[in-house]
Parts: sequence; structure tokens; C-alpha cells
Amino acid sequence: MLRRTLKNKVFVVCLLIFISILTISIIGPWIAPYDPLEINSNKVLQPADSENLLGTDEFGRDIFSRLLLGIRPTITVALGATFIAFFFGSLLGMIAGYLRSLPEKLIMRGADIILSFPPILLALLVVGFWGGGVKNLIIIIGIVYIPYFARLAYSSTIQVKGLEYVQSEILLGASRLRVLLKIIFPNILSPLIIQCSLTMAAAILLESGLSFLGLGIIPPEPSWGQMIGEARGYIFSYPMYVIWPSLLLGLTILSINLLGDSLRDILDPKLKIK
Amino acid sequence: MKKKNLLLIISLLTIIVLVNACSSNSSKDKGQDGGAAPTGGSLKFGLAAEPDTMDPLVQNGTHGRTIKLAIYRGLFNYNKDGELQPELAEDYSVSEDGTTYTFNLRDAKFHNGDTVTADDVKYTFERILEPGSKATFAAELSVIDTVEVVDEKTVEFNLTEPSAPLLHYLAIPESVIVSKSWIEENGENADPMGAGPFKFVDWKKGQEFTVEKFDEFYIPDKPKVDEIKFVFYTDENTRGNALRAGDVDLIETVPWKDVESMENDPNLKLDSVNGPFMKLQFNTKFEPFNDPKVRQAISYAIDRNTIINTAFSGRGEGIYGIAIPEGYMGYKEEYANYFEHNIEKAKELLAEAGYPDGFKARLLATSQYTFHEQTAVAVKSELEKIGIEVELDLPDWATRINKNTEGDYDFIVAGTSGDITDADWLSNFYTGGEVRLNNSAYFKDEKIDELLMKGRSEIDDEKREEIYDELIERALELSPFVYLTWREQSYGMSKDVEGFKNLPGFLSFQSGITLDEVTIEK
Repeated sequence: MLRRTLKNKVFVVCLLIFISILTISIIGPWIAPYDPLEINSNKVLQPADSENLLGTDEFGRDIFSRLLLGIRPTITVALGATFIAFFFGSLLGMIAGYLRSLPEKLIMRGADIILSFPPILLALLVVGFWGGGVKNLIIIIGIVYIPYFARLAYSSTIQVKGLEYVQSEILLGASRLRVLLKIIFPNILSPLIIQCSLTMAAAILLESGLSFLGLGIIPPEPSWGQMIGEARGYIFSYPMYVIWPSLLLGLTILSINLLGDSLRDILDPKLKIK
Repeated sequence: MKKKNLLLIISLLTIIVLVNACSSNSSKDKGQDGGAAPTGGSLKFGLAAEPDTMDPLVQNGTHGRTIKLAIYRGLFNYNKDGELQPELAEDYSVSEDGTTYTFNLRDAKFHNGDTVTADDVKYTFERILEPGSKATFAAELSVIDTVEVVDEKTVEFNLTEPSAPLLHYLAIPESVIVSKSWIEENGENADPMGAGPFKFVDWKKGQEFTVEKFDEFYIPDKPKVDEIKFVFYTDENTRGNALRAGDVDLIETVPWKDVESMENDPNLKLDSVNGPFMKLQFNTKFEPFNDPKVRQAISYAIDRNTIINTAFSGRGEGIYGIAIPEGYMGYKEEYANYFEHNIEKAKELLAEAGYPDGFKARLLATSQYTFHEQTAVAVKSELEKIGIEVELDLPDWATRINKNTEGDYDFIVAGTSGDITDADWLSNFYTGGEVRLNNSAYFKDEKIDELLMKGRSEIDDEKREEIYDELIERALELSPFVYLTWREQSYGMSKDVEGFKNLPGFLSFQSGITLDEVTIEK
């Protein structure tokens, strides 16, 4: 398995990118050359020079430092939201798939209701009521993606539950909890993990979208989406400002998506023969 | 296999690009054909927002006022030099005790062909003053006790007391004359119809508002253009780019970051004034902000240049006192420089007030308008230098207005302007009371209230000067507002547009009055 994993070049490259992004999100504040919030009204919108590696923004703040820190809320939100969606979504989906009847109806129809809204619209609505900020965004984006996990866990559970080894376990008198957690969960885990990587990418996009609109991370704290939103106004006079955060955001999302793709290739038992 | 797919994608993309290019070309061609029409031509005016109502007695923003002044006219107006002048009133006389004004109306016609009569004037003001009316300036106009029709062309206003600013309040866009029969026949939601230079044609909600030339406007050779299309661009970048691309001929509120590049653009020109201003309003029920010393400390702490350089791209001028333009009643140099940027002094004042280590406060602004958000960010960074920790609250504009009028803020970034050029503009800001759009929530000072009342009922200018001197001194001492900067307000237009003028001083938001002189060459 490990050998097959390491052979997958896309996986290795994307994993390296993803790990380095994670690392930056942790150590960013220590390696940033300037305080990313410090306003310097004497050098507004300066091009890159030896002092400011990537120039300064409209407040005279160092763009490089802001990029280093701007990833932290994004990653925090993405990880937090994915965890919430994964945890509650899988749990609810498994319960619905295992018990069927009333819980199934309640849970799956509830999921359908949430799914009927486009994620960004739902998130906008809730942010409008509660306001932005990392904590709220984690909860909101987490809830938005719960149904995706619930559906996946639900259908996988139904499928797995009918298999002989699960049925025999049930007939032997194992408790529901044991069957759910020890027997079914490990067997439906791989699609859920792939869904995790997709949700990560989607959550990053959603957070960036909200911040771009000015409703996500509360300024002056930097986040890439918000930086793109601010830089957009200077696209003609100062194009490099908008290019850096866009490039990084694009790279991050691309690497996470490809990571998910290659993860599927690796985890899918049917592809083993290759 | 893969190569084939790639080829397919590329060819598809090429087709899409080509189709797009063709369609945008053809729409441009159409625009140019329309512009080649023989007389007058059509002006496209890019506005920063869409008005929520066209009932003239509601102050519906600069964008709404611009359209309003194209369709309606009042008894008085401010002309392009910012001077008060009679409009639908030809002349007027005042009784000796100053409580009766008699206006003679000129021969003017509404768009439906009816003559503007004394009945319409009476109806207009009774509609504003009736209990429960939505009129924004009902309080300011409440000095009018009764309106009497003397004959068809003469109307008499009886006031409860003499009023120095009365004619100014008759000149604001919310006091324009409406047709009695039109509203009675068509109801409150009737199409807008007045005695202005342009007739209402069509309002495509969310897109544009079209008016056309009114041939029987009372000034014979006006208006010049055949048609004006007001197009709504809420996004400032889109608005700026629409002007650059030639989609519109004229835009309001040029984004500050674009001012320089538009000035240098050979196809464009700008008309800018330092009229509107930015200020901070305080909730005086919020513990530290109930103390004038804290509010003064904030005024000393903020370097206005930081705001100008960051939020306004270096445009505008700091206000270290009270926002009275030079030449207006109450202007004095000492009042203009009452405060200075002095962090030590600010810290001292905070310590005196009992907050040597600062405190936490929530600053309300909006993420919808970049300059509001950026002003808030700059204020936050300035106040952190004296230990005040600021948390920003940046909802959309509608929520911001709600929170403002409900008093749901510790302090708030506001961008505004006086409504009239008479010193009584101060009343709207300083009169004590609970929560209004323009006051500092719950601020009330009896001395200020008394002076405001004295000032507005005094006719003699010298005595008024004295009253307002005393008032302004008191206002600075208590500092219910901290004034930040004069913000340069610019209209951007194509070189082909002539005759549009940005009104000086407080009146920039009423520049729509000059639309009747605008010409466009194509």
C-alpha cells in the first residue's frame, strides 16, 4: 500500500504542497517579517522592493506578511468545518442507514432541505444573522456540508449492512453501537475520507467567497479571500496585489482536490490490479 | 483520446470567446448609432445605488435626489453656485413679525399639462406635515403652522415663530412640489410626476431609470438633452469601469483610488469638491463614551492623515474641529483647529476620565462601501495606540442603517453632509433625543437645545453669529461627534459632457439640479 502510495506522483506532490501550507498556517506568525496589521500611511501601495518582498497594500501593510497570516483563518475554518461535517454527517447518516424507518425519514429529509439551498446562499443567510468571524464560519460551513456526509454514510451503511459478515455479527448478538462503530464504520470510511478532502476544498472556497464579499473573516485580520476582494479594486493600477493571494488560493484548492482524486485511486480496492 | 478531448475543449472555449466578443461589439455599435441622433442626445448617468422609493418627501440618498431633481422642482433651489434662489416661486414677501411668508408662483406646468397652482403647494406641505407622514424633514418644516391659498397663483405660509432657515428647507429636494390631482387620482404609489425638466418614462427595477425631456419646462431653452438613463452600479469598481469603457457618460462618487487615473485619462474629466465629511457618532449610553473627556481623547488620538492616505488615497482634508465649510455661518479658524493630533494629550484625557489602560469598544461601519470599511480600519489602528481595543462590526449597508437607527452600536463611522447651507443644519445633528440616523445616540444637552432653538428663530444675522459661536464652543467641549475628514466627492464624466456641476460645500448631494444644463456631444 505504501509503495503504491509513493508511486503516485500527483499524490506526493500535492501532499507536499498541502503539508507546507499547513506548516505555514502554524508557524506563519513567527516567520512573517512585519506585523500584518500595522498600518503605515507613508508607504501605501508600494511595489515590491528589498524591504517589502511583495510590496504593500492600500494601508501600507506588508503583503507578504499578510499572505503568511491570511492562510491561518482559512485553514482553521476549513479543518474545523470539515470535522464538524464529517463527525455529525457520518453519525447521522449511519444512524439513518442502520435504523431506517422514522430516523431515516427525519434525517434524510432534513438533509434534503439543506441540500436544496446552494451552499453560498445558505452561508450568506446565516452570516447575515450571526455575523462573520472564524468561530461562526466554522459552525456555519460545517452545517452546510453535513448533508453531503450524511448521504454518503447513509447509502454506504445500507449497502454494508446487508453483507454477510455484518448480518452474522448482528445475529451473534453484538450491540448496535459495536456494529455501527466497529463493523460498519471502518468499512465505509474510505469514501468518507475522500469526501473530507473535497469538503476541505469547498470550505476554503466558501470561506474565501464570504471573505471576498466582506462577510467572512472580520478585517483587519487578513484572509486570502478578503485580500482578493480588497485588491480587486486596484487591478489596473497595481495588478500584482491581486495576483498573489489568487495564485496561492488557486494552488491550495487545486492541490487539495488532486489529493482527494489520488486518494481515491489509492483507497479504491478495485484498482489494486493495476 | 486525451488529446481529442483537449482539442474539443479548446475549440469550445474559442467559440465561446468569439461569440462573446461579437455580441459585445454589436451592442457597442448600437450605442454609437443612438448617440448620432440629431438633437439633444441621450445621457447615461451611473448612480451608486437604486432608490428604494421615489416618493419625493423621503430623503432617498444622493442617487435618489439626483433623479428627484430631474423630475421635480420646488419653490426654491440652490443654484449651481450654491446660492439660494426662487424657482417655482417667482418672488416672495415676509410680514414684519417674520411669521407670514407670501409666495407668488410663476407660470410653470406639471408633466401632465396642469399648471402648478397654490393648491398644489398647500397639498405638498400638508402631506409632509400630516401626522404619521414618512417625510424625512417633517420636524424641520414643522415651523409651518398653516398654508393658505390666497388665489390660484398666491400662497401664504403662517409660521409658529420666525424662522431664519425656512427658505433653505424649502429648497431641499424633499420639499419639491407635487401635483394634488395626480396623487389623489393615482394614489400614493403613482408614477413620479412633477414640474421638473424631465418626464418619467420607465423604471426597470434593478437596472435603470429613464426620463425624457419635458418640452414645456418653465425655462424655455432647458433641458438640453432628450433623454437621461440613470443606471445603477452598486459596485464601485464596476461603476468606475463603466465610465472608462464608455458605457455611461457620467458617474457619481468616483472611487477615490481611481481619481488620479481618471484625471490623467484624456477622455475623462472630474469635478470634485470637499463638501461631505466623515465623522464618528457615539452611543452616549455606552459607559466610557458617556464622558466628554473620552470623546475628546479620541479626537486627539486619531491622525486624520492616516485616514486620508489609506481610505481616500490621499484625497481630502482633515477636520480637527467641527465640520463647517469656510464662508458658512459659524466658521472660525479657531474652531477648525480646536483639536490636534496629540497622543500624549489623548492618553492624559483618558487617564483623567478613569481609563488609563484603555477599554474595549465595538465600531460599526459597513463592508459594502470600501471607504467606510477602510476608515474603520484606520480608526481602529489609531485608537489602539492609546490602548482602546476596537472590534469592527461590518455588516451590509441595510443592516448598518438599522443598527444605526436602533442605537445598536458603541460608536459608528458615518459619512454625511449638512442638509442646508444655513447654520441650522446643526439642528439635525445636535438636537437632543433618543436615536436618529444623524445624532449620537441618546446625546442630549439642554444648553445646546436651547441655543439651537434661539438660533433658528432669530432673524438678525449678527445676533445669530453670536448664538452659533456659543453653540459651537459648547459642541466642541462636549464633542458628541468626532469629525474626521472632508472627503473629496467627485463626479467623473466623459469629455463630451458639458454643463454638469458639482455643487460647492454641503450641497454636493444636490448636484442633480444642474442636469437641466447638461449637454452631450457625440
